[in-house]
Amino acid sequence: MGSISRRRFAGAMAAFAGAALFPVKPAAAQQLRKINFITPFGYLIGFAPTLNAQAGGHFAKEGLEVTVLPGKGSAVAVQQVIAGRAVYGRGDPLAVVKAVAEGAPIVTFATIEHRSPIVVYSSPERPIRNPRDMVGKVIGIAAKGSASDNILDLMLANAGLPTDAARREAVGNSPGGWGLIQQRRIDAHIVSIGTTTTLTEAGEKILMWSTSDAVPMPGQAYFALQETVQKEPELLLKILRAERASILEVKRGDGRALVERMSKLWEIEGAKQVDFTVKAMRDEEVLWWQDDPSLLLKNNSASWKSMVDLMVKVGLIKSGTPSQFYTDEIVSKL
Amino acid sequence: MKRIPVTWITTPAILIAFLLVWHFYVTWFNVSKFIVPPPTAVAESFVELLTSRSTLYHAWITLYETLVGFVLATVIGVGLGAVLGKTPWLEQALNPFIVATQVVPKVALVPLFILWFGFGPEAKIVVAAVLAFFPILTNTVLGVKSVDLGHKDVMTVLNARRWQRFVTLELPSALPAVLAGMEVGVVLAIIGAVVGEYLGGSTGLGHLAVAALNDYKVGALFAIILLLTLIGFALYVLVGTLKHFVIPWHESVITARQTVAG
Repeated sequence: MGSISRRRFAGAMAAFAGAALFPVKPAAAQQLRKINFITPFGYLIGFAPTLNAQAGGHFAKEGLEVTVLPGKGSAVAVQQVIAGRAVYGRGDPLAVVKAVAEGAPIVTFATIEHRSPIVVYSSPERPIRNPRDMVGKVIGIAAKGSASDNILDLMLANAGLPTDAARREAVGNSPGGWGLIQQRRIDAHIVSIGTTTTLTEAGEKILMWSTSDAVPMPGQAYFALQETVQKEPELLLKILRAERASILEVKRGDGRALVERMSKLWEIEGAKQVDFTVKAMRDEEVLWWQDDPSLLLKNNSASWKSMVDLMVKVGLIKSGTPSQFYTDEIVSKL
Repeated sequence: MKRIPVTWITTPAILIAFLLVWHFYVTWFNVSKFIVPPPTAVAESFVELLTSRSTLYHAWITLYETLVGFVLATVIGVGLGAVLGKTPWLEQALNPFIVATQVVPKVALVPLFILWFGFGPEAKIVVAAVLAFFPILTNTVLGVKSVDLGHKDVMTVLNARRWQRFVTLELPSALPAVLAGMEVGVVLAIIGAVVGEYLGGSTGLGHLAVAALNDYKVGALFAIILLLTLIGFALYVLVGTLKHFVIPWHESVITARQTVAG
């Protein structure tokens, strides 16, 4: 029987000890950077690009682990990013512009929805088809100063009407507003698209149209501190790469499987009815999607300019140029 | 020489200390004005608020909703409390439902009230009344049940009728507890009015607070909260002052007078 030399044995033991001291970790187990993201309103399927990016491992591929915080309005989401409780947030661009105009140190670094998720619905028996039909009527909005309130101002101004041409009442964003329309307490309700999806799936006959038909403007945007854009552009780029991969997966993937996967991590509103939630997700997908995928998440300068000019016209901000409110610094590298 | 009450010195001193700590906190830690504005910004916004006609209008709406809701809660609470205090079997039968009105989260009911009563002050009056009702009711029941047994015996000896017993003994004996319930109730009434305004309608200080938050006017938001606090405090003191006129014989009133007199 052969024998091994002491030198060879010592070398083998040293190699073994070295391997034990410096193990090679599998890539998946490597430390992920933990960051927070805040939504504009709870957990809705419309936030699937981010929810799916986390649930589907797209953030992990970029070395990130994202905790999704449920916001309570775009203004609150903006304030939480300013407070440092989230690295980035999502919200309506009007809220971002107003905040920046007040001196908030934030900026939009990507546009996730290229058409507004805010729609107007009314009863077919007393239809409100466009801003002109709103003159002298009572319009339900989510709250004073909310996206629906501000968009109403812009729609009226874009149609050449004074902003007080329609009376407004704060009634929230829920499908309960349909009851108020049927009671004739309001004539139309301005809500997010998920609310109208709920009503149509419940068999209610409503007349609805997108506010983007009345005023060209970006739908929803991702924003972060200006300091983050300057000091950590690579982090934001990783976030956007993960989000883009997620959008592509949602577009091409099995809706049911994706919704079920996301529902395991968050209490997504309405997700117990999977088919309904898939439908809602497909309705929202139309807003993120651009026929040219290279335009996904990009900022559209024309729609930003249209929105900012109208905001100045109606007095929502005193002055401003679009470049103050968004940057292409990150998306241009996508 | 009449001594100055200690509270005339300690209360302003605590307030000044609080303002100084607030000012130094936001300055030293460079806290964003969107999170906590400095006290000077809040003071400026407060002055702007008070000099605005629209603020006075909204403040009046909130005050109106609070007072009407409070009066409703008091009338129903004291009336029902007196009946339940005298009718133990009825009190036991209704108790679960009464507790339910307190336990149900009112915020969840506001959209229903708006559906039923509309956007005007009616829905907010109902919320204010529902919130104020429970402490007034329970304190009234307690007060009616807590009449001194010796005094009851005196009434029996004097052959007093039921209504005489109620008017001359039970009601005055219950008043300290009723007024304590009303002190808590008036504060809850203003909370109810403001919560209703947060969630629906287009008037009131609650509505103005939501607008200030959505417009990032955090200084104005703090100023509105300060105004609401002052209104709530004034109502609390007003109801507390009733004790001096309604129950001047009660120990709590005598002790308070002695403290003020020094």
